[in-house]
Amino acid sequence: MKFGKEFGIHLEQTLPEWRDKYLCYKLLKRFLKRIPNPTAVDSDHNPPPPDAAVDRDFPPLPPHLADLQEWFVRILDEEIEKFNDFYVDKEEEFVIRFKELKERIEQVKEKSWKDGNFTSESEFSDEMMAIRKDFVTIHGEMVLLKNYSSLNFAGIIKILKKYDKRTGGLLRVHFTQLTLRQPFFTIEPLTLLVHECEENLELLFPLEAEVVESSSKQPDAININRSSSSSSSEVGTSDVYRRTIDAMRTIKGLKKESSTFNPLSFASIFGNQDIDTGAITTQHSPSDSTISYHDKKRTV
Amino acid sequence: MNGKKWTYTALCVQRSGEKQLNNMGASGTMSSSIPVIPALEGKYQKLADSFPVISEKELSNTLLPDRNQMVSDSGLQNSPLVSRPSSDIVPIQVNQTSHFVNAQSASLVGYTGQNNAMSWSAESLQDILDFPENVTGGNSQIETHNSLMPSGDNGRGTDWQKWADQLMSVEDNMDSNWSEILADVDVPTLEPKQIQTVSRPPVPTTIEAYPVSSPSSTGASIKPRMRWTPELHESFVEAVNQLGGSERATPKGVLKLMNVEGLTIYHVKSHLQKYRTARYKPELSEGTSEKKTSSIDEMVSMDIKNKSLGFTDALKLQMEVQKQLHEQLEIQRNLQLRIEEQGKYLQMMFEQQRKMENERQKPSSSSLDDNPTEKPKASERDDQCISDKDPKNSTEKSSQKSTSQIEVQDVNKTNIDSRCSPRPNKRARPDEATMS
Repeated sequence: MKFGKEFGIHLEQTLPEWRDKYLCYKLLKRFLKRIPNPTAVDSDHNPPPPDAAVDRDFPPLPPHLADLQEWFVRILDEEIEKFNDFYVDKEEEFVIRFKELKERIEQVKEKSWKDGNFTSESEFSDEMMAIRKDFVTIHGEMVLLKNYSSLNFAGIIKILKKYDKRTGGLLRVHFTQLTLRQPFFTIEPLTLLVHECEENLELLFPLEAEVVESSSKQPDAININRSSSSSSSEVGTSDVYRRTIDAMRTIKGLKKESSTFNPLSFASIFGNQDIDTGAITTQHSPSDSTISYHDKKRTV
Repeated sequence: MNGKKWTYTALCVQRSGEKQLNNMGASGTMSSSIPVIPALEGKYQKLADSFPVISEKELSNTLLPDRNQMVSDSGLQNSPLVSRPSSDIVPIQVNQTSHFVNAQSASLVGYTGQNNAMSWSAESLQDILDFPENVTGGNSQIETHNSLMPSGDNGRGTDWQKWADQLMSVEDNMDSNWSEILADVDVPTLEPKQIQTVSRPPVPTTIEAYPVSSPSSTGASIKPRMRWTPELHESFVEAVNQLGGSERATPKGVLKLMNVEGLTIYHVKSHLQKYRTARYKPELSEGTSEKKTSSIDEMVSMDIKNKSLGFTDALKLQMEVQKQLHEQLEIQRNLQLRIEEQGKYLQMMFEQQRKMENERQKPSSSSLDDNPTEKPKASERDDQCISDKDPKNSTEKSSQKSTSQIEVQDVNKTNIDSRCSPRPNKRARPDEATMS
């Protein structure tokens, strides 16, 4: 599917509080449509004046190309600031929550060492369950934030390409370099957290012995609810799960996309590797030969 | 300082103006060569006339300054105002503009698409107000413009007016803000580099902040971009505990205890707030769980997942899915970083082209090359105008260049070496590793 469409669907699936933190891709596309195309063949044809509805959404178009570029860059700057703000904010939140989770583990550990036996085994396992659940939740959320970062970056690149195409400009190359260095796209700290999370979870999960899995299902459901309320964000695990599935779907959808040839598009890179879809809509990318992606696993 | 900047700008304008014309293949004025939307032209003309035609260089420089540059110029960090190459100053200025307006207009508007557009246009007015020297009678033009705005022109007219009024008052505040900001500037910062900090003693100094202002800035400060690393947070927690817990600790006390350069009380304050929320929310929200799940469908699917699998297994399944997603994202990110490699190569090509052109036009080009000695690093710097030379050809070339990835890497290696910033190396290396 086209990027815009995938992006839009993803937006619908995402949390409301996240939704307006994404790139205004559609809006920007509309903006670009209003830009007169200097490469238009017939000079007689003026682009139709935008209708009133569009006007209200947008500031008037500057007549000079230099101004236009400045406009556009400024808009993008704002969008990127938006991403940065949100991302850094979330990152901070994750750092705090993650630390708290680790504290809880420590506390449980201490408790189990102090009292020889647990006053109540189920209490212990409940707490462990809750911790596990919160770890899984925070992991999920962090990965979703990475997804946010990636999608927005992709959107920026796309819009830049469209801008260049439309105006014959050369904004993309340079602007991309700048974007790459933005906080919202320098996600190394987050990645570290995710890995640490995964390590912790590896340790947490195999301890089946201590888990007193209650036989009836009801308590499980209750546990989930109680635990979801204990995670500091409003998002319960079920929400994270749903959004994760959606994010996977989005990525998959983006891989299939490509109406124009681009050696760097996900489609052309993955097209060869994704035997299932057979959605190799573009020629084999010449860049494939230079890639050595150690992508052993195919996508689900 | 303003004067100096604007001379610079004016020259860039000339050049870019020429370039634009050449590109358009038109010898007339810009407005005649572009089919302008007639309906808008009248309204916009007033603004456009006073609209500073900023050079392409500035256009492309309007992002936040390159973090890499900050890292590399660690020696310069304490005096960002003076020693930064002009490239950094320029972007700060424009962006600060946008931020200030953002802060102002944020109170008016939210983050809807429409409002975004509104705040964008608010910034254009901001610019006009900001660059009084460049704009002949800019302010008066604005006022005229505002008064001319037909009241019938509902959305836009009133918005423009509102913003113009707002921005007028903003401008008055700006100078005082600058002096505060300038006093406040204490730019530290290497970016996190957690990998290194892990082995360091517990007190981290890894705050990352962008330069807060510059002498020629005409806007308010960029929000100091504080990134809380786990190490930093650790020292925060320690400080809080020393002070008796999150409830009793005060931001001031924590700030003092932490003793981290560049950390402000505002950072600590907001972080403390978040910290308190994170700790006490679990205690508050028990028993109110049902409201949290947002839809019945989710409950059902979750329920099914749990009932059929048991809780632990359900969690495991979820974890698996999340891990897969993460893997996919890592791959995607690598791809995206590859774009950077392409971009670097292209940029270098353009730099070289420009160099050649500069040499041809030696007398007039000297004003553009403020830092000729920095040319080797230019590919990562924002200190040159991006020329519009054959943009179509270049972009086409870029797709063909994929076959010369290896060349790109070699070329970029030279670039990387010539730069003193360690960070691009970090990023480039993983790419090169995956690419070879």
